[in-house]
Amino acid sequence: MGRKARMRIIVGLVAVLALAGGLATAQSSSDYYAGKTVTLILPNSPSGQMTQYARMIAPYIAKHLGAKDVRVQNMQGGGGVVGANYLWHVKPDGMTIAFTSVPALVLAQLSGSQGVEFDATKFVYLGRAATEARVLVVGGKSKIQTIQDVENLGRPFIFPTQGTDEDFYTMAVLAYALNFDLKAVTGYQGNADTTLAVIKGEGDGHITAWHSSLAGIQAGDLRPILTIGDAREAGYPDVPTAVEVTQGNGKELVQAIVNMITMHRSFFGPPGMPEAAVSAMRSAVWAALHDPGLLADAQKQGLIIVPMQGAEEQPKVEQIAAAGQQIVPILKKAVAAIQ
Amino acid sequence: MSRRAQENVLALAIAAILIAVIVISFHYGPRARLVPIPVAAFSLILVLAQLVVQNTGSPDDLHVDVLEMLTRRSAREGVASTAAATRQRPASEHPPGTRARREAIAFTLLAVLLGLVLLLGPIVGIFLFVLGYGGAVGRMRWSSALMLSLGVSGVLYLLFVVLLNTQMYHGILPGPL
Amino acid sequence: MISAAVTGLLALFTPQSILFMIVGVIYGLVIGVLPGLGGIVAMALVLPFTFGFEPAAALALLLGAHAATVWGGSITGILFNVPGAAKTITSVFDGYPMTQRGEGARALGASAMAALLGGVIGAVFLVATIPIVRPLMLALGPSEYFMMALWGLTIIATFSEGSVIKGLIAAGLGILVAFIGMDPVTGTARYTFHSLFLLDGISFPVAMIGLFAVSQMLKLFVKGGTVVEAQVDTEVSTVWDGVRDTFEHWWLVLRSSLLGLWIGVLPGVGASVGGIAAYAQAAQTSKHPERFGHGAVEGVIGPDATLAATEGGGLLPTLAFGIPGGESMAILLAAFINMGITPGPQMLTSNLSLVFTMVWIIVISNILTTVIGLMTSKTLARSATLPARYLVPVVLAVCFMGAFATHGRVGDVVVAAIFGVVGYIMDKYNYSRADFVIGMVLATMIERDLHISLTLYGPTFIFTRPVTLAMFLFIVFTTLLPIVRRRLARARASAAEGSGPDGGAA
Repeated sequence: MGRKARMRIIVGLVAVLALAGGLATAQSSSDYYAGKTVTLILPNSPSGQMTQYARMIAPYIAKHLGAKDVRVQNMQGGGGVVGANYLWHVKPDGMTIAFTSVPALVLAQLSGSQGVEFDATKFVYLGRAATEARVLVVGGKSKIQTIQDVENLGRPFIFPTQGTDEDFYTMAVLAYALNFDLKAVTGYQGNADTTLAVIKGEGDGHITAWHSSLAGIQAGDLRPILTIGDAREAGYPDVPTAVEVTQGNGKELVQAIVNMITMHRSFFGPPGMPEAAVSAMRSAVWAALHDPGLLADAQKQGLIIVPMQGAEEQPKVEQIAAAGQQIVPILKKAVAAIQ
Repeated sequence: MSRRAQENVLALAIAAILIAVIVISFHYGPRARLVPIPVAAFSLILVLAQLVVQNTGSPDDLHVDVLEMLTRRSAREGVASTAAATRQRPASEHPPGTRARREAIAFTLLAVLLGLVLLLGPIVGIFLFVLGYGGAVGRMRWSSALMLSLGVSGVLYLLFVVLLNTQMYHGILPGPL
Repeated sequence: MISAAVTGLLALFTPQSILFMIVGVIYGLVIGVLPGLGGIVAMALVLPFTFGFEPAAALALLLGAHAATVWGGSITGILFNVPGAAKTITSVFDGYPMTQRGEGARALGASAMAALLGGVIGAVFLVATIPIVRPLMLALGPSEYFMMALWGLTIIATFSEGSVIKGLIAAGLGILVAFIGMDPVTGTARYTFHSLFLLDGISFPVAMIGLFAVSQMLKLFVKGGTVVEAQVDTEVSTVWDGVRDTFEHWWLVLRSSLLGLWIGVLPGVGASVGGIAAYAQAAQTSKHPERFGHGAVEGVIGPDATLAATEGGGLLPTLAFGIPGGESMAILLAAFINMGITPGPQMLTSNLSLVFTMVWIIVISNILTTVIGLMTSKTLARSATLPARYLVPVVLAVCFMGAFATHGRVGDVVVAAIFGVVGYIMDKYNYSRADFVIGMVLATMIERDLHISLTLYGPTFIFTRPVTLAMFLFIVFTTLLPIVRRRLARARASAAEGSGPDGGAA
């Protein structure tokens, strides 16, 4: 055998090995999760709607991931902070991911909540399952007909609230952007309590998810005056969005809050997750959210599914965090006002 | 320690907690401390009153206090509560020393159960505790203690893990379950 | 309306609905018995199983389970001082002393029968109050809720256990313990020492497991013997004594049920507050308030009737406004949505037969619960005579497991153990645990509604709101009433020299 021939064989072997190696890598990337068990951390209570979503979607993610199982584990506490902290410190092998309300985490971080160890912008976002626009409603008997009436109220707008949750911060930013006086009345027990306060006229208005207020709106007990979301709500084309009614700097701030809200129920992983795991998980989440079986389940349970790609979400979080720095003083002021 | 001395130690401990609460509360905003400080201060005054009451009357009068005299709760009720108090104090069954020792054992057992649960998780911890308790403390035959502990942890496992789908805590040491 | 009632009932007569209701009731009883777990957990866990079934069957499972947890929670409270759920806390106040006296079966019978009557009365009046519920709900605000919470506090004097001062100190400590964690009014983390675990506060069911159940087992270990006091040894009562008691106190049952209906209607008032308000009401209107806390059968009947009646009342805000009155009703609302039912005022007009179906479910599941209860009470009561060496490890094990399962956090087991020791010390030195618990339950409501009232109506809100003022006067009246009565009784007793105490409750 000549030297050239030997060389050719070696080159050939190397090429075959390289090809095989390449195939093997390609193989391992799509098989990253084959036969594995993934833990899905839920920083929420087992009886809430977040858990209902997670339990419904988890089997479909397992199916599209080729994983043995996606186990849902509730880890509630500290308004989601306990579970998020856990994910922040977990081994980033992609075998542990989480699902919760992203705005809650971002706002907890921005407002400097106790015990926050994570940086919400550094999480790896894997896809959004659902989002729902929120709505500012006033009482059916209230004199306030439009958002302009709120601006020209001539007295503070009384806002019954459960405390420093997402809607509280949203309201604070709205008041700043639209330049109206806000009087937040904290201490209410929950959505039912604040809704009743608004219907009674004890408070002027509050923010809820659209579906929570629909029955009241249809019965005339409540009146929607502002949508806090990407677009006007189907069925209520006369209710403007918050971004439409604000200008200049205020618009930017409101846009940041809206961006945050639109990320609502999302899957995310710890920082430093391997690239193979990220791409496998992102496509599995996307495929799961389009699975006809899942869509049928969701319809049966009355849950909406509005998917968004993880890759599309990631830059939005950066955007939120950047704009968030402007919101921080507003948030701090709102919290100081209820001390 | 006499009953009165024990009562005094307890009252002083409560007073210390209440003072700590008041001091800590002053770090909070005016609305956050609006309710806690008056509640703690009022309780503190009551503790001081209690200290005075329990150190001025005769030892038998430990259950009688000023407010009771002020509101003049009926004599009949006094009889009932004394009767209840005697019933609650079966110390006569054991000499006082035995009682203190049994209390020490009871607290230790509680600590052992807590330790086992923290180390091995509820199911395994409970299994070992019931087994050990039945055999060593309850003086059952070991075979029946084993039956009891298997039964208890088995039923709890079925109810909580299988039926209620509780996510189990597996303890600091890795447990077999 | 009558035709709606009949249609509503007929919808339940399918094999599936009947089966679902029986399964729901048995399941609810089991959940109720387990410490720390209550109606919310019961409903949350069965919710996924109801998807895709017809409304009557799905509601039979959900509501049946929820209604049955009330009596289920009372069983262990009465027999072992282990309250099965937060709302059945009052069952340990008088039910357990009755068991100690050897009247466990009577207490269980009274509890089951009161729950039945309360559930039925609540459901019947639910129908009657439909027209007035909206104005009533709209008339009451935070200042009135504040008064209700204050009213609950006045019960503290009843649990003096020989010392009113110690009772008040215990209540004060209970209030302060409730303030541990994130203050919802100002967003301040109070008394948490930078611990994330404490940020969520001390869980009420867990503290209760420690205070009553764990401490009771410590006491039993120290004392030896059985739960039933040595001089009684065996059961001396029958279930039917309890049933008879309930009918003898029909007026109390009726009042308690109406109170329960009302409490259920108010979204700001939780069921555990409801139980305590019911107890306060029973004690303050009793001719023998001094017997409360020492095994008065009225102390068992009143709260159980109230709790059973809140089931119906809780439906009203959900149906009338489409806003859930509590966490368990939020779960029910989720079930409605997947059945394609839109709650709202039209439920009470166009969908009335479905409302009646729910009313019938509550009535029938209460009957089922009571039948099961009356059949099993005697056997159950016997378990209180088990010797300590069996009872102590088993009950401790169940308590720890229950404490863990309440929120799935192992830290709660530590809390239960700590409160076990605290409860033991409180019991030994006569600091009333009941007062502590009452303070703990009412603290949040008092603080929240006080702040809301102050912000909305200013510092003089008691005098500027007529309903609030009326309630305030009512509280003063009902607090003074027993004292006046007691003085009168004393005067009469000293006049009729030498009539001895008659022991048991009348």
